[in-house]
Amino acid sequence: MSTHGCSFDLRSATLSFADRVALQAVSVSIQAGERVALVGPSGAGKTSLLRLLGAAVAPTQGALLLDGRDLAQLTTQQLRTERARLGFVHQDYALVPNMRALQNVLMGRLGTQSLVAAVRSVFWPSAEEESAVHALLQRVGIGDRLYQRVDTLSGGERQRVAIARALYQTPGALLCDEPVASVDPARARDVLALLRDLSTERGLTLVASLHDLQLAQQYFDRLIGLRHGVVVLDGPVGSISAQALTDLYRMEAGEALA
Amino acid sequence: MSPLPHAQLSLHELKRRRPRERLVQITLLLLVLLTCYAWTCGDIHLDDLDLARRTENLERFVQEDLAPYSLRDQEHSWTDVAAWAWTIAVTRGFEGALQTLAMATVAITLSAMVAFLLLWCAARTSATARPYGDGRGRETFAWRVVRLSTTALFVYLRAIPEYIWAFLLVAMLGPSAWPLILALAIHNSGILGRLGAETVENLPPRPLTALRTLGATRTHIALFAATPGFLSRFLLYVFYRYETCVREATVLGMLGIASLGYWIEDVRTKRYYDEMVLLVAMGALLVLCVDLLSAWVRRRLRQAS
Repeated sequence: MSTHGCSFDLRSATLSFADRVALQAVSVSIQAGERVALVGPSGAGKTSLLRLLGAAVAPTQGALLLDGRDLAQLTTQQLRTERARLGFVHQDYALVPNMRALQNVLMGRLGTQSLVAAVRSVFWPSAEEESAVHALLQRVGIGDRLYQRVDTLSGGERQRVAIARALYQTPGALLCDEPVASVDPARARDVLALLRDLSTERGLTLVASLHDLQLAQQYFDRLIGLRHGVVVLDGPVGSISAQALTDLYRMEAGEALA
Repeated sequence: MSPLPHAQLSLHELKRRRPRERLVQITLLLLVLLTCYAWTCGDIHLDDLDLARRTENLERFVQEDLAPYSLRDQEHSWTDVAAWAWTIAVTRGFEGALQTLAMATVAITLSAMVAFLLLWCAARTSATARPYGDGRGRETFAWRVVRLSTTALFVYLRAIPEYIWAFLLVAMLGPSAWPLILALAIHNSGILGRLGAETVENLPPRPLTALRTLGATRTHIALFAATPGFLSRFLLYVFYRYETCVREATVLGMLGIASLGYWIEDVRTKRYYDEMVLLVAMGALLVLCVDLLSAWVRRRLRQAS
């Protein structure tokens, strides 16, 4: 179904806002089909790094190369096309609350559709489109929720809709911000197994931020540790020592309240 | 990360630095100053009310002028009064009321459409080179011009009262229904446009940003995410203004346009106060009916939003 996984090459990227520096000269290279977990304490810059990789923000300095192409050189139209290949699952799912699951998933294709095509598709979906969405929702385990309004679904179901929307983009990569932050341990394993299987089935590059080191080591191939906006560790899961992981989360004086 | 700056401060110092809300104090002070101004500088005198003489007038008005003219100085029953009222209602009242309602409806529909089309150019979140929280691209001067000029247009349209618009338009277009409709439509476009733009600005940003980052255009997002989110609230404002439009359409008839107000003004100049009061009551009834309808619709909309 999918074409091929996306590869990312972040070159010495700094992301700063008016009042703070979120990422400091981060260089990370991710191969197509890799499964990467971003770990590190709260405020370390995990979400910022995901937003950079998802082309949601542009680095203040440095560059992001997606499949070898520098995003800064693209026209608005080309940027749209590239963004359409990046499936982003937000921490709060960011669905349109008073639309049906069907419509929310159909909106996954907006990046490649003209206005007329999009209106036709979202408001009057064809039988093929409906069955494609139904198949995706079945794949993520909530096929029966197709015609439900999203604001009547539970948090876990919304997350599945968000994953289905990202898949409907036929993306080259899935970027997930804290996919298991608000679910219990059993469901966390369920979601991570789903993401891992999807990435294998479709050859997707998978990048997810999470807090649980055990889960990160179990479901991902590679860990990238962030602290204060700097990459402090990066390597295959097996190669990272327990001491390095403890250091990653070590608290400093006064930090508990920050 | 450095320790919090307030961690080592004494209680006294912490209290000195506490955040304080000054707005309420300033508003109260302003209110007192304005009252003093009105008292001392305004040409407003209690004597002018001359209550004794006015009361006399009022008594005569209620006791003599209000009695139906055709039935004065003779014995009459409630059936006679009802027949008299019915004649007036049929000859002028109903037609005037329906005209009023029709003109107000056309006016609010026009202004809702104009406002809906223009408000996207005024909302800070959509009229920008980085729409709906897009983190890429640079703010451009052109978008700023679009945004500020649309906002200024809305302010201008609503700053001029309906009555003045109608006055100007009657002079330009002559006494048809259009000066009244356009006057109401122009004024309310400004109001609905501003309120609609604010509603779009206040939408939860993340669903909109999410669509932007998967490649959706500004129009896609406006149509598929912003409109579903803000429509019920926008309609709430539309129905609220509809009430006002019906009221204003009555008043504006006094400029010579065939709404209920025209007939009220007509009988007032003839000093048929009995008929005037009846027509005013019909106007009030009409407004009350629309109020009830609008309140019902808005309650349903609030439940939906």
